[in-house]
Amino acid sequence: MNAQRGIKVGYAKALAALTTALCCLAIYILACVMSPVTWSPDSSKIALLVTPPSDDPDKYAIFTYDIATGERTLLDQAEADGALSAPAWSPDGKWIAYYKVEPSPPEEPDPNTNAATTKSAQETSTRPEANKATEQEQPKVTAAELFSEEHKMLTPRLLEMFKQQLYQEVKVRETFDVRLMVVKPDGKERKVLWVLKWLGAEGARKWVALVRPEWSLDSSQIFYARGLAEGELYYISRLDLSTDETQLHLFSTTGISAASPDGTWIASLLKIDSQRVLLAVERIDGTVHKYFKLEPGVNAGQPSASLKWSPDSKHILVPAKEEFRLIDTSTGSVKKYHEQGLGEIASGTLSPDGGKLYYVAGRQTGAPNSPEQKVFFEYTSLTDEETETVFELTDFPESADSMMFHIAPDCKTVLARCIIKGEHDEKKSTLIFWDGKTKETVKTDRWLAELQNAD
Amino acid sequence: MNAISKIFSFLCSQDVARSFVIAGQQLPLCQRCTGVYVGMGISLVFLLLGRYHKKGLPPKGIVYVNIACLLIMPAFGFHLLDPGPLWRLWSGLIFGNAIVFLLLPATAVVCDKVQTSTSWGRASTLSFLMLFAFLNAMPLWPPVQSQYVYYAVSALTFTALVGVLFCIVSVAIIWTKKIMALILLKGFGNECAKRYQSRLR
Repeated sequence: MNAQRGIKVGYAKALAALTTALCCLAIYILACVMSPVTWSPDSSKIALLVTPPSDDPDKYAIFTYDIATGERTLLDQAEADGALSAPAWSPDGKWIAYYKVEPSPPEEPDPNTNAATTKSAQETSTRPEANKATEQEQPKVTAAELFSEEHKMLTPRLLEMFKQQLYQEVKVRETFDVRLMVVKPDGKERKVLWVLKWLGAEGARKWVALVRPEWSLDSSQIFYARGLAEGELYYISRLDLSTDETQLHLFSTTGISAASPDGTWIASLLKIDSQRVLLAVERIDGTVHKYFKLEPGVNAGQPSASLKWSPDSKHILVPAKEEFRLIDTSTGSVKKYHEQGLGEIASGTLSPDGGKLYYVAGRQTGAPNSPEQKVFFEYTSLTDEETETVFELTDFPESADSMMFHIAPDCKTVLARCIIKGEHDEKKSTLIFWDGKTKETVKTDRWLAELQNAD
Repeated sequence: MNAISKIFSFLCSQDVARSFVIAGQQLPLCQRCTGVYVGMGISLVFLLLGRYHKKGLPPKGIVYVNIACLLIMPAFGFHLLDPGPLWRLWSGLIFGNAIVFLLLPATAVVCDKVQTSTSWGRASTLSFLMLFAFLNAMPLWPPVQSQYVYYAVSALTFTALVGVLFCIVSVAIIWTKKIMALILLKGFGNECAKRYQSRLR
């Protein structure tokens, strides 16, 4: 009897152990599959800068947009002469980083009296001289303010040469403050990480909208840009979020950098002139600087055409108009991906395993006498260079203009941002999503209109 | 490798930002899941080769260690503590080890009715402690960018998956057999039924 009882107890213990083990494993698997990854890394949401469709917008807003539910969340906004940059979602999905320029405070009239008014009228005629005198007295920005990073990783001699040239050539040394901000994706918490001085006059603020910060893969560091020449030259620095240390790395003409997945390298493009573009790659610890001269045709001026590292951190994908170039950063060798008959291509993205290159391609199809331009979402295998079409992008709005394509990190969704003309020829900012089965169009101008009405 | 990625896509989010890249190839699992399945694979091989699964359930001390390893996972899995990739790997390794050390011996007891009381001796317990120390030390190894390591990790994760499925299927078959026998043979008084029912008891 005791033996039998012992067997039963042992059996019950075994069942308990079995159930515990299987339940724990099942809970873990469910949590792992359903946990958010974040154009957020899980490709379910996008964070975007929305402005009125104009060359000189006076309203900026950053939203997150859930593709499945259509829900949008306002993260920040700026009006008048303020500005926001494009946002950057951290790889861990917890924060979104961006630059912000606060609008200038409105000038307040002197509240004292008519005497003041009369005096001001008399002063009007002398104002230009007074202003000139004021400008001359205005303290010039110093190199210490512009290059305020604590540890300068750039070659000291190069930096000194640059500073001398900058102070000889640049006449207007106005600066404005740009805040490096982070905000939670639900908009509930916002922080200012750093306040930088950008060199430039009033009109330079709009260049902020064309750049964005970049995160390291472990989300512990942010690479930010500091404007030096009104959209023509920036330098890229790094902020360590845990220690608040800043380090200067390299110059750039796009203001956008790309950090390698292993955290060892930082890269950016440097456009020397219309024919010469350099790919600047620097080791994070400052021990190695490499410059690769790229053949003409690189989209160095377009902020949407950003550099992408391969998952093994050995190659960089550089976008060009009709081909992609994969540069081996250790040897400098360039492998080009181009197909005959392929028209313009855009928005190259490497698949998560690095084995495929996804892109949006325009092709002419149909009879030679009546060719038809079609747009496809395709990929090329990097091993055997076989090309496959994932799906066709159809139903483009007829009046679409300024189209920019973006591919989701999971390479399953394509987004196009464009401006289309409405019934009365008014411009409308639009997002178009394709996933191979459905197409969704979202107009973003009403997001700004609703903000205005809410104000 | 695409087929393996496809299989594991049902079990893991395969977050690019939280996955190891070995020899230029991203593993089909995130860092924590890699730890879980590698820990399970290594523990499975250890138990099968040493025939520990036939020795009944592990002693209390080992069970308590396993339960502690299971209880650590919620803090890491729900990102209450997220100190980095090596910690994710470590939490997965000890979690996977705990799962298998509970699952495999329990499956053997339920299916084969091997001895239900533990017969783990000192040597067996010492072996477990050495394995446990080995798994805890694994995250400290320098990253080896070798194709063989990639294949070894893939093989271990596959072994773990097959092992767990085998345990689940075995238990399911045994229980289905018992339930069917109880249902079908109930009320029958013939010798065959009596013999079977006594075996079930």
